[in-house]
Amino acid sequence: MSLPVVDVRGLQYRYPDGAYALRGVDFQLAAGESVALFGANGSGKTTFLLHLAGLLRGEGDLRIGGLPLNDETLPDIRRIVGYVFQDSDDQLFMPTVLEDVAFGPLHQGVDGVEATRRARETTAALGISHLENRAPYHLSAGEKKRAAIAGVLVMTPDVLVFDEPTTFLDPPGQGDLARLLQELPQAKLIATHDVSFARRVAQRAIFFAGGRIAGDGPVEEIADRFHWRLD
Amino acid sequence: MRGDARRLASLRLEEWARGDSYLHRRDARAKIAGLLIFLVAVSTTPPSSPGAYLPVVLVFAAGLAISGLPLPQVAARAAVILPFPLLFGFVSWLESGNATFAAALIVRSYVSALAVVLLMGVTPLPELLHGFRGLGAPALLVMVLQSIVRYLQLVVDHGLRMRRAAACRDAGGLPARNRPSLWRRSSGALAVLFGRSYERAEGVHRAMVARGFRGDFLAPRPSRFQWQDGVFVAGCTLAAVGARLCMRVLS
Repeated sequence: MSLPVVDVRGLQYRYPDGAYALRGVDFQLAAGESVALFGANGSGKTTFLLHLAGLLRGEGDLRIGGLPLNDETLPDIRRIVGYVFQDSDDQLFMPTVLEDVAFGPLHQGVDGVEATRRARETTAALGISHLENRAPYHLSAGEKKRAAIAGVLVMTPDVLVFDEPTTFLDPPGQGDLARLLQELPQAKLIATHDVSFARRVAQRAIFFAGGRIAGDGPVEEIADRFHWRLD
Repeated sequence: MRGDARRLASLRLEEWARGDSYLHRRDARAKIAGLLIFLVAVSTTPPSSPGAYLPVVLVFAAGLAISGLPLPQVAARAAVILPFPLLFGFVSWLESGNATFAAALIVRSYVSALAVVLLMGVTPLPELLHGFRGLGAPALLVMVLQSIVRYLQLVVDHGLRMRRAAACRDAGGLPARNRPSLWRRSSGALAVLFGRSYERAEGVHRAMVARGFRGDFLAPRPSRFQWQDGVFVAGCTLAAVGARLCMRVLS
């Protein structure tokens, strides 16, 4: 059996005030697998996801693509894990979409011409070439989300992490996003409150409660078990 | 909406910087050097009369014409610094009684601000910061500079959102008896604004770090100092020296 692309064992994290956000999380994600993360606000989903990109550092064993998370491996791990933030406005900070998409490769050490070429290739693949020279703050929520995903995909990650990707999106925008995620071959971790969206993009779900994984199984089963529905 | 128009205005510098004029195409280091030469010419002119600054104003006007940036908007952006020279000019006038000297002080500050806006309007921020690094500015200083610019953008953006939210719940004029509480609420809103902007800045920083940012803002356009840039710096020097000589005659 191949090694999991994400392997987390006994992950704990405490806020500076001493309160536990994660209390011993064990989790494995196989290459190409898509997993939805359910759980109430404040249950530890985002804190967990931030650990995967090395943006928070807790206690426990965390391996990404077989690499242990530490200062030396951090640049490689950030290449392997592509993090799409909940609020695209946080993620799109360069003056144009093209410059924003090129930001990742440039900071991986790729020269400007090549970074721009890769950025153009990625925007074309996501169908947003026509937005390349637009300022990100002029875009619709759906376009911003695509631009944010392009900024991550251009770094050719093996794992995609989405923090509540349907926030700010209208139903057609959510449908577009679901189709896009279905086409992407990478392993995916998607924190969401939307069970129908999760059903379309993931086979497996985990349920966070009180900083722990309280359940792990097929999306429908987890949603039923934890009454994770509107009614 | 007027608020949105203002928001766009606050971000217009970055749009201007993506133009393709002769000035836009120059290496950032050459443009910074040109600005420094211009500022030296302005600052070494004795502030004997506002008219003495006419030659440097002409040099600036030539630069503006080449850049293609809109004069009214450039002038409006540079005007944000005016309260400070106005205050200093006023104090100077009170102390010395020399109104011409005070007016020259204000003109000098404003012309300098115009030149800085022109530089920022023809140079994208990452290239500008790269230019400063290339000229030997300490990395820490450049990083602080870029953080301040980004943070100010976030503060403006958040401030406008809060203003819009407040306007939505504004039923009309505030009764005079409630005016003192308006000040109290405004100061509270200011604290919230900075708190939220700080949180948002953290979010942006996280997003940057997640994509490999390690403290250096890299520019996508390769920076190369070409012979045209050398000609540009030489031209700036000649223009500044010429303007300085004319200023001496006029003053």
